[in-house]
Amino acid sequence: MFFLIWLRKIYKTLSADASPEAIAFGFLFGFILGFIPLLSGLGLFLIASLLILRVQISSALIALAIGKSLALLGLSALYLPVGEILLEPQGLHGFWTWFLNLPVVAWLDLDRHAITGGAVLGLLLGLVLFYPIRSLVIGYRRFLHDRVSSNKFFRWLTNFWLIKGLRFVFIGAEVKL
Amino acid sequence: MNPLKWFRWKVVIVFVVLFGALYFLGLDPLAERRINSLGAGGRAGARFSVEEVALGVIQGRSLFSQFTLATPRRVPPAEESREKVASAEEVVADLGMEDLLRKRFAVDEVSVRKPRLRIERRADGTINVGDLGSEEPEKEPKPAAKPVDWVKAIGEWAEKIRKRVEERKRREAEGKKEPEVAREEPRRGLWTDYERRITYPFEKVPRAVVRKLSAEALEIEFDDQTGALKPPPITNGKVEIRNLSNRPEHYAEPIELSISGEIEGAPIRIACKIDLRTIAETGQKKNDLLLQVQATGVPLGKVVQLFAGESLSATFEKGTADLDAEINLFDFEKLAVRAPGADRALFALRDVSMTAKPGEKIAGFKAEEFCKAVNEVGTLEFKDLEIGGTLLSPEFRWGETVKELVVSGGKAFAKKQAEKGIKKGTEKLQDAIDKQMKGKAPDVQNKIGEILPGADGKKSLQEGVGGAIDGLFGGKKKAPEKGAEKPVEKPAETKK
Repeated sequence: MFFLIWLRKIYKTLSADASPEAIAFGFLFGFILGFIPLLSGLGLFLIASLLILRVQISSALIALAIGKSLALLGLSALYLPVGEILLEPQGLHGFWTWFLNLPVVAWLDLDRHAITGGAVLGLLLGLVLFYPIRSLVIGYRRFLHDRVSSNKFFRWLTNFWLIKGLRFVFIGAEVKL
Repeated sequence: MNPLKWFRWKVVIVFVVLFGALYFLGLDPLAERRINSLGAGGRAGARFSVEEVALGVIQGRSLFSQFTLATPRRVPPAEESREKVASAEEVVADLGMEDLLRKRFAVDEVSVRKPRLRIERRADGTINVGDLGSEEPEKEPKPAAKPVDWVKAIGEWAEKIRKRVEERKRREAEGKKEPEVAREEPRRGLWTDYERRITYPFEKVPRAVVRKLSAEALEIEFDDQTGALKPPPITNGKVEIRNLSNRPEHYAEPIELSISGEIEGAPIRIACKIDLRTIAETGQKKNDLLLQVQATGVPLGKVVQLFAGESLSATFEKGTADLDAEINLFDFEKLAVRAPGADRALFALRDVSMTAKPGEKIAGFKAEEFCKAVNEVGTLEFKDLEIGGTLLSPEFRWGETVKELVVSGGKAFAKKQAEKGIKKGTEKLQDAIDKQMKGKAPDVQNKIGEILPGADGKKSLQEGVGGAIDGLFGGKKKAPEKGAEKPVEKPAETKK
């Protein structure tokens, strides 16, 4: 059932009106959120941004789930070392002292090793996957969704009750009786 | 793409409505409850309460009505009022909004209306304000100690503060070592340790700052439970405190405090500079407290006797005291008290009559001899007195003034002092006349002759005055009786 729910979500995300960039940004936000505690300063700030900015919320939720799953699988062990590498070097003390005392930034809890480490890992993953996700969405819409939908064979196939039933089960599409 | 389309405006409106509702309906009572619940337990080092709160976060101006502050001691409800230390009708705070965005609590200016301070000396000699700041009040009752005067009680309080500062320093030093230990064994597992953080970006940044605190119409009431007489209150007080912060060692300016008011009609002014800043080059903390105390015409019997009676080796029947002192306290322990300038008196007694306590000593002399000499002189200025040592055991370094006073038995000393003062005064007067009345010398000489018959219009002013003094103290030269009084008074006025 869990698998089906997520499959439906992905389908809806890919088929929605949102632009490919909004979906990719949604993943970026979601990955960062997935690697940090939601109730931290940065977590609350990102949730508020997610709601206010036109970022695709479904894609962010998918990325959040992926991020939390990766953390559960052991990626969270990297947060502290990455945070230490970023925050501890003597040469960066001046920068962090300036940056972490900036207005608003001071509230984001970036002085915590694990939050900075997790956020940076999430940001990197989101940036690395930004263009592939965008291309995937464009590709899906252009080649699969548009072409397959306009294919006569596919239209004929979807008229069968069995296909309509399977479509309902897997992607939750409305079955016209 | 139009940037306006980047936002979900419906969500923005919902947020604005929610914040608005919270701000207009719920934030003030919420803050009031929070402040009162924090203050009720005494965990913050004191118990405090407010009747009404108007936060005014958008305007950056908060108002607190009917503020009361009490010691953290838990006492039966009947004695509750005795633990009250301060109250104010209204406290208005101008908040530093930029600092708030930087996660710092800063107040640009706090003004307090009608503040009342109540200082009580308990039966065991401790004072109520001494309990402020201690997180847990002492559970075991203190053994009834010998009642001490206010000066000693304040000294003990200062010692308590010094110990607290030392304890805090020790804790800070221990706290800095902890992350080193934690780093050796990083926690691994499903989740991670989100509590570990760096502290260096905030180490040199004060998190709570009050840039200016001012209060007018202050009244300080003294209450005494030891059975001794109650000292008079300080009225019409004005207080100004600047640069208060939770990390004074890293704040750009030292803490400045000034209190002025009246005690028994005598004006009193205390200015204090507490410099706890760290010297950037050496990393050393200054821990320097500089107090400037000025008081004029303080009644000895009603004020000094009541505040410092136990500490003194004599009792005062009449007279007033002037105080003009610079008090330096290094590391909250080492004491240095001196006059602000070489020609200014640290301490002056005027028209005084005092009685020695049996067997006591003052300035290394028998208290009886000292008192006798002072009573004879009546008025005495201590210019060369210095106080050193520590706060709890001060060391007095008396200069020649006191030795001369006691050895000469007062009379000869008084003459010498008067001569010195008169000489200085007449010199100044002569200079002033020379400068201002240049070219009108004969007229001036004649006028001097009228004022000072001893000068006879031809003699110098100094000669004339010298003759008058000799007349007064029975010297060889005799001055006319009529002129004997005037020369003594005239330069004394100039000196004033």
